[in-house]
Amino acid sequence: MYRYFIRRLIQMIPVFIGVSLITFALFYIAPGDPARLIAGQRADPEVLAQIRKSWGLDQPWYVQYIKFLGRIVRLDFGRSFKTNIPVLESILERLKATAVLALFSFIIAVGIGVSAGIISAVKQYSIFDYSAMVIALLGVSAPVYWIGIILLLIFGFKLGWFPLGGYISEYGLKAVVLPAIALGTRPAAYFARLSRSSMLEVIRQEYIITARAKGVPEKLVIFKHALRNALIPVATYAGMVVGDLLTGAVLTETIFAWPGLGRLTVQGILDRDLPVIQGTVIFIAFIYIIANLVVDLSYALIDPRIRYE
Amino acid sequence: MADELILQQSIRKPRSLWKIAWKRLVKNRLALVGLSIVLIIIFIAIFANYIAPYDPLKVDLSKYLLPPSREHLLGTDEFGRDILSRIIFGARVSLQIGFFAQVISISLGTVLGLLAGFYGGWVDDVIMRIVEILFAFPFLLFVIAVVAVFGPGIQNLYLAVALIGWAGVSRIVRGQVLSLRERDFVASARAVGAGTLRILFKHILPNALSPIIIEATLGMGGMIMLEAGLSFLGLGVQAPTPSWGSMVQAGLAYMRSAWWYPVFPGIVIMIVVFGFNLLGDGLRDALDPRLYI
Repeated sequence: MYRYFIRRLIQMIPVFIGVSLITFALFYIAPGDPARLIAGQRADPEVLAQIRKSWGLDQPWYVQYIKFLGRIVRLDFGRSFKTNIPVLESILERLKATAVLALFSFIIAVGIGVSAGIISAVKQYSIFDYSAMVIALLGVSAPVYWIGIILLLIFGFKLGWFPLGGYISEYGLKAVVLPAIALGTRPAAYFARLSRSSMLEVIRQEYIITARAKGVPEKLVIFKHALRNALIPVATYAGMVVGDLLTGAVLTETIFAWPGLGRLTVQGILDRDLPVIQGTVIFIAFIYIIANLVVDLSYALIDPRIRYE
Repeated sequence: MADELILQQSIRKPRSLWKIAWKRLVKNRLALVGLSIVLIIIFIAIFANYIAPYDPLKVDLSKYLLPPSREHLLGTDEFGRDILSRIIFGARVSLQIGFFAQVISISLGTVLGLLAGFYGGWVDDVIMRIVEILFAFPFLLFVIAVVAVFGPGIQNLYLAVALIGWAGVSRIVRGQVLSLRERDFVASARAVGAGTLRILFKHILPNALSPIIIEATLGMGGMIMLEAGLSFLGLGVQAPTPSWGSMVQAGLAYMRSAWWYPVFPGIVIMIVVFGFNLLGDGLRDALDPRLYI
């Protein structure tokens, strides 16, 4: 296990470097003069020259990249062009809100998705199975921001059960319900489809037939023998869900005025604030990589076959 | 008796994989629903000029945010434009962008996957390492970053898709090639002197087509969703061209007084993506039941 852990960690290094290189390249070849973006379109040539020097923009690309790499290793993403606040500070300030939203969405997605998938598999071809799978496919097909709007229209505006947007500090836990449902719908749908097919596969295995033949009660067969094995492939999807939740947050937070990373990104885009966009993109990519690593490692813990490969 | 059976079997006409798949597909009701949705939306996109009741760009401020009625089945927007007509013309935009984005990502992914799988060695290593790095970016986020940096617009959306969208496809194609390149028919082609390109595109590619077709169909829904998401953020199709995503975004501001404005374009996005997903699922079952997940 220890060796597997080390190997996976070493494998991460080129991916981290690749991600930083691509992010750097993207902003290096971006059209427009960054010095002008910082100082404004009508800045004096002297001011521009000074900015180029102090930001290192006059250096060749590889020097800029190595400096960039050195900075992001220290989690220094520079300062916002617009507010001059360090980008990391803004990110950390917003991270909690996004984490809360993602956590609640994840709980909803796993709770509803996995149980619907398991029931569908156990009652294959029943009305429940068909409707759950059609709803799941609709859930995958609906844009997250549109689900948000529908929820707001019905439960916020019409029924008045939940606030029309805003954070926990204002409205308490009520504020998180609608955004979490909106953001959790898509992963819930995936979890449902995945756990159904995984469960169907396990149910047909010989050890399940053996358990039934021995006269083990059906409930025990499903929950004790089948479920544990069926959940292994479902667990791998959990890593990808983090990516889904983080990008979904960009759209969901816009709808619900949720003060998280997503809104910070969108604000950065609207202001064409390159350090903010660069910082949030690279930060989210890193979280995504780490989440996948954690899932991989826990996967190896659950399923011993993986680490002996 | 046994002889008769063998005789019967040998007389039976050989059936191609595509015919068998088609038969399986039309037996699958959900897949047929998906196919119908897809065909209808393609029809609407092509004949938008004849189907749309109004000019999608015609501004008439006297018709400001009218609710659904006989004259305007899905209501009007803040410029008095007919929402139904805008949705109908929006089909053109969405399908076109979805289609071209898919063409870019599928063709790039196929070529790179073929090369990686067939040559192996360092070619495979380089391509697969790049794929791994690209997988570290959540797709939508990467596209948002590219469009945010290079400026809004469709060309930059294509650029982003070309940069990253091929990764998934290339992995699937590579997997197919790895198992196909050791088969006898490839060895025989090589033995009779076929060149690498001929072997790749004439012998291996046709046998790897099923997963590519499935991926292309399922991915089409994803691309339509991507365009709508970008337009929703104001980074995709620019006004006044009608796009489903930008309609939802514009409607958001009038949600309280005109619910129909953001709701209907969203329903259309959902139905169309649903159609492509159903069809993709159906194709997967029909073309290769083993791939079923």
